[in-house]
Amino acid sequence: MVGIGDAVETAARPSGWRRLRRGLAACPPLVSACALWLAVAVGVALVTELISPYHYAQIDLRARLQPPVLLGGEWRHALGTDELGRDVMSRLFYSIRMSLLVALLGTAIGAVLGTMLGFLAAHFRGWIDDLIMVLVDFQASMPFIIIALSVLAFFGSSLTLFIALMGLFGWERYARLVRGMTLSAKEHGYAVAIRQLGASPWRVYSRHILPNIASALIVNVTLNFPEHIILETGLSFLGLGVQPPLTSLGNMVGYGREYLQSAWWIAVFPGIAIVLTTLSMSIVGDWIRDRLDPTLR
Amino acid sequence: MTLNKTRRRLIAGTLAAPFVSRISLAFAQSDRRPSLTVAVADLPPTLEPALELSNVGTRITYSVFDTLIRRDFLGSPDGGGSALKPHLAASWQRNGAQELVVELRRGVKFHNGDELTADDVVFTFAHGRLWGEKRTIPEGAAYFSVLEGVEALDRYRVRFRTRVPDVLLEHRLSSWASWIVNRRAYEAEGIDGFGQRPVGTGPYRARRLARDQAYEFEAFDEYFMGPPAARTVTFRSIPQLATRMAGLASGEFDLITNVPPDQIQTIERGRDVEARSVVLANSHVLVFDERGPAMGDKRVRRALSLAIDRQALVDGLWLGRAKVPASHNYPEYGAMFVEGRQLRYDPAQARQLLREAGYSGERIVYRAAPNYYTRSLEAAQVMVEMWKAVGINAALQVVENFTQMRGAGQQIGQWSNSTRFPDPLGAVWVAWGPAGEPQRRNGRPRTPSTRPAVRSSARPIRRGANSSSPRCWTPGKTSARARSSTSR
Repeated sequence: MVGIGDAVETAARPSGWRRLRRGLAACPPLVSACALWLAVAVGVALVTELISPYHYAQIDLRARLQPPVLLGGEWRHALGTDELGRDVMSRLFYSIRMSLLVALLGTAIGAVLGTMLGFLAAHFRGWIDDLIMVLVDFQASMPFIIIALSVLAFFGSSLTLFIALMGLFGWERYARLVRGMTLSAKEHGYAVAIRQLGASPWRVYSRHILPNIASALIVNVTLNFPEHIILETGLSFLGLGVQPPLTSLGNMVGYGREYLQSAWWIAVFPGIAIVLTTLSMSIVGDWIRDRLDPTLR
Repeated sequence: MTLNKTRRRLIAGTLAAPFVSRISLAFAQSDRRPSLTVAVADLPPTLEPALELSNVGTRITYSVFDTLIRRDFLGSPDGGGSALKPHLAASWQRNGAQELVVELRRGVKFHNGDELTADDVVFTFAHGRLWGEKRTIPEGAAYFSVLEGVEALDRYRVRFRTRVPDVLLEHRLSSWASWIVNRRAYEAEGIDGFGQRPVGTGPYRARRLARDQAYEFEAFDEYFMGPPAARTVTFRSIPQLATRMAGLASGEFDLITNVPPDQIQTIERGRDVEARSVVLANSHVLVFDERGPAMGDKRVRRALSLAIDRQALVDGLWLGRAKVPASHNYPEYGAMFVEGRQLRYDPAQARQLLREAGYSGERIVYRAAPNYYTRSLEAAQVMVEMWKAVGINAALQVVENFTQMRGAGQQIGQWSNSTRFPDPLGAVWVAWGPAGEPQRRNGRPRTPSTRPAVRSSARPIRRGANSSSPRCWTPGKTSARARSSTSR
């Protein structure tokens, strides 16, 4: 039984890799540029401490609102300083890390939660299926920003609660996708065969069905991730997300808004980072979907 | 002349400093007076004038109600004058140290058409409203627990008697809790209804009140000081500074409040926009709660205070336009002002005190609400860094409102104290005394031994000798930060 399972996987894997590698070679320049930006962003997030000239909370009240270097500022603060004399470049790096981290954790929690619930619904059917689908409908019919605003306003904002809340955003799409695809995959020959051989449901779902429906889930992740960044920045902009002294892209834009006329660099640089990151993620995600979708080849 | 006076009233009423004005010239056809829209950071929940003693309440109360005696703020060029002028009272007379007879101005009309009589004054100061065990306005006792009785001598004369000799009674009558309310309306509506449909004698009459959104007032043309200068005045709640500034630039608002000094230059770029700054007798303070971990030790609290470089905050965040007060000790105290006192910045001593207290890095959280006090979130971030610099494990927690801030577990919170009449009893006592918010909230009076000495006294000279009274306060319990222009 192990042999058959492995055979299915090894048969599927090389063709997928080859497809991806062939795709990379034929990658359009725009997609490469986007992928490059994402790589830079992730790189910045990984080595933030090493490349930031200052700590994000290091205050210098004598150096408030200094302009970026090309507009009469000094190299000490290449992108200028904010209203408390903190270095905008350092804060930008830390913000990119914070926003990516929150979005990544949120996406991961949502994907795992949604996938698990989708499998449960498809496996048990009956009232469990009904219950999960009612939850899915409920979540899908409520604008998430309203749920988030009320939860954060009521319980007060903390980073843990905020990440947990981000995890609740988007799980319903995974649940629906996984449930539908599992229902059909369960009747496919390979799944039936493995079940007949006595594999536990856990093994069937995690080792055999999941890899076969993964491409759709990956596409959903790439769509979901920029939405998480937008949600995080939106809530932080409204003052309900990441709270000072911590910093995130939306937080920087929110507190820099007051200075748009006198010190635009506080809000504009994180704004650019938000646009570039979400746009890149969407473009790369679209391209991955095109590559992975057999009907589009 | 009238226009001048009323404009001044309006400005006093908004307590808006630094505030910015943009006089719109939108004349109606019949009434050529302008309609003013004032964007404020926050509105009071009701308009019961003695209940809303916060700055956001008082700046509106001035437009709707009057006091018997008026404190002439503008008598001194800095707006801190403390001479007393007749207002609803035409005159007043002392009958000994414990008695004051007030003669009312004749012909003053309330918004509902009633004439102001001694009856309304007696009702305003009646036992059970501002003083007495079961008073409806808890904070009233901070001003009027000294009263023994108030009675009408005839239709226009009222006699106030105090339990003990009190030199401050006239000042109390000119202060924030002493707005005269209409008896008929108050009795018909009750305290809650009156807060929604207030009836006073002031220049503007409530027209439409939408809580948390906008309070709309119209000119009360029978006002005893002459018709008001604006046709309508609307106070709108606009918590975000950026929105207030944009609204001012677009002409949607005529006046905005709570403008930090570093935004004044930006605002003045707009045409016909003018910014004015006034230093108010209002200090941002920190509230230390002794019950949290580490906060029980006085040395830790002193260290927290010594670690704050207040002058750096004033210079950096307020561009030098605010002042660091000498604790609860202001020049308008007159003979009781202690020259040369100041709040020290001494990080070395702060570290020393922490060592002596055996402070071992317990987390100390400062809760701050983002929009209530001007530049308070920025100041909070700076202070947290200052505390960290002397080795305190400080953290900032941003909260939505004062309920969350004052909720269980508060270690350090925000507040501000105003001088409500020019005396320590009108400042530190009303804020921190038994009727003040911290002691009422925590239900345990903590100032027993100093009470009789501070509360009242007949002879100013003895009170002058007693000028150390504010020291009854645990040093470090409060730390006034920047004497500046915002509110609560």
